[in-house]
Amino acid sequence: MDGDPKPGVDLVEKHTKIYHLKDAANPPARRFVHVSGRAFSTLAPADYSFWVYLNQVVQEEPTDVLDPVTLGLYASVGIQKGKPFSPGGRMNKILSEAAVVGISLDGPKEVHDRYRRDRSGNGTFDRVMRGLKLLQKHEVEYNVLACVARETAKRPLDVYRFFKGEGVEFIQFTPVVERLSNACSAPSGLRLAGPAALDQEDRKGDVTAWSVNPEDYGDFLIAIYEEWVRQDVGKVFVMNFEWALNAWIGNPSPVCVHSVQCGRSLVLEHNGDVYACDHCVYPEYRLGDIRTAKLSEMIERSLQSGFGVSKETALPRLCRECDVLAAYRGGCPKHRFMKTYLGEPGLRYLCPGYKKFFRHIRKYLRAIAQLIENGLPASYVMEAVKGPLVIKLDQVR
Amino acid sequence: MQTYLLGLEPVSQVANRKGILELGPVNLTVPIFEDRMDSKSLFLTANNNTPYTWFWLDLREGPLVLEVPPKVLGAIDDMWYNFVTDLGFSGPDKGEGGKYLILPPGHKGDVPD
Repeated sequence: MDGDPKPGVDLVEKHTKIYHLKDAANPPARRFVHVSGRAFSTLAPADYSFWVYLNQVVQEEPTDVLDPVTLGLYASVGIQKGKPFSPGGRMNKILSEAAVVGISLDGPKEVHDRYRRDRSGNGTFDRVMRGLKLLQKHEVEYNVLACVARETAKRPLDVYRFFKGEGVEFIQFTPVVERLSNACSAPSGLRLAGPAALDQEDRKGDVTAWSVNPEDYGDFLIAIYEEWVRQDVGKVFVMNFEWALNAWIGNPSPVCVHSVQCGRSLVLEHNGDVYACDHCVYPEYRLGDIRTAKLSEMIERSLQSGFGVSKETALPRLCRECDVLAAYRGGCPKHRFMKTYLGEPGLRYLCPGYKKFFRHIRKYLRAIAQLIENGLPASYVMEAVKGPLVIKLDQVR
Repeated sequence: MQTYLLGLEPVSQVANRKGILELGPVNLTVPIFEDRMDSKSLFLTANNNTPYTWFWLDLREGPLVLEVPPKVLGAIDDMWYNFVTDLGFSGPDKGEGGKYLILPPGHKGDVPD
């Protein structure tokens, strides 16, 4: 209520009751436990105990609601109702490792541990690398998701060569941009600011000390691209480079950030509020109330004239006329809190960096696009950057 | 891989139950994020601006009555994360609160009003 959870919490504590039907006349007192800020976990384990938990459920709960395929797959790892779960040494090992998935890694130890720490403040690099080795050992495909924060951006080749050295094939870079709380967000107790209003001027553009500098981010991508285009095309896949090429050859973007419009990842809040994007759960982006409006109509309205459209229509003139618009598409709306030099609001924070990057790689994109048009492998571009590339098509085909 | 994915739902529920039961006995303990949630508490898909409450119902001792407070938005899922019912604004009580009788699977016996 007005940002204060207390009245709602009191209401819940007053009215919530749980009791056995047989005790209806004399229900036992239930105990509310306040858990805000409390360190405890409700997450599924990512090791062998995953299977111990699964077995426990299969033994304790009715399984007749499950379909035979699911039961069959459980049985395939030795989990069946009424039978002991006792995998042997080899199976035990396979199952221990099967429960590990996904990887967030920012670079070599000193880069990664600078920002990625656990609750006690210790670096997480060694633990992440143990996971990475395990994935590689068992040939599980994984994508390294690397955040580029302020200091990380100053060491592009250290980061890239580290990944290559570790045998990483798929990399995705995500720039870290967070704004300090401003007049708009401070009253609701937020430490970081919400996204800039789409078509209004925002008050302030101060970012946190760990947010990447826009031009540094551009230089970071350029430095890596320069090495990639000479040595690693077809061997290492940097998603950001794939997206740029994709835009250059005129395909719609696979990621919302570089799409013309966005807003299809809906969010439903506790009070029935519906929002168009999980990065924009703020009053000014509310689409409606699930209790009173139809979901389909809310989405339709958003896609036709609301949030999703304004990614395109609320771009300042500088962007609409920009030569790299087709590749950048203004990026994520939550980062549009700068002004153009003409004083127009709505400019993306990362604009100078992306502009520099896209302009820089145009010559390479042109070459790769030509190779693809002629049915040749993109990796030939590595030869092309050395000098004039002459390919006799009859020899290739 | 498929077995892992199909196991994730019940295993998450075990982990969830384990988390709740660390706070107190089943059917009597109601954790509540009275001042919302931060990253100290490890949850899947939770946000930091909702005062969440949730609890574990164990039906092994027979049917349970749940009195749902007004003005909440919630749901009941079973151990397999199968949907059982909505509660609150999107449920039969339409946000006014109400009494729900939860029967164990295969319940024979009378069903009172």
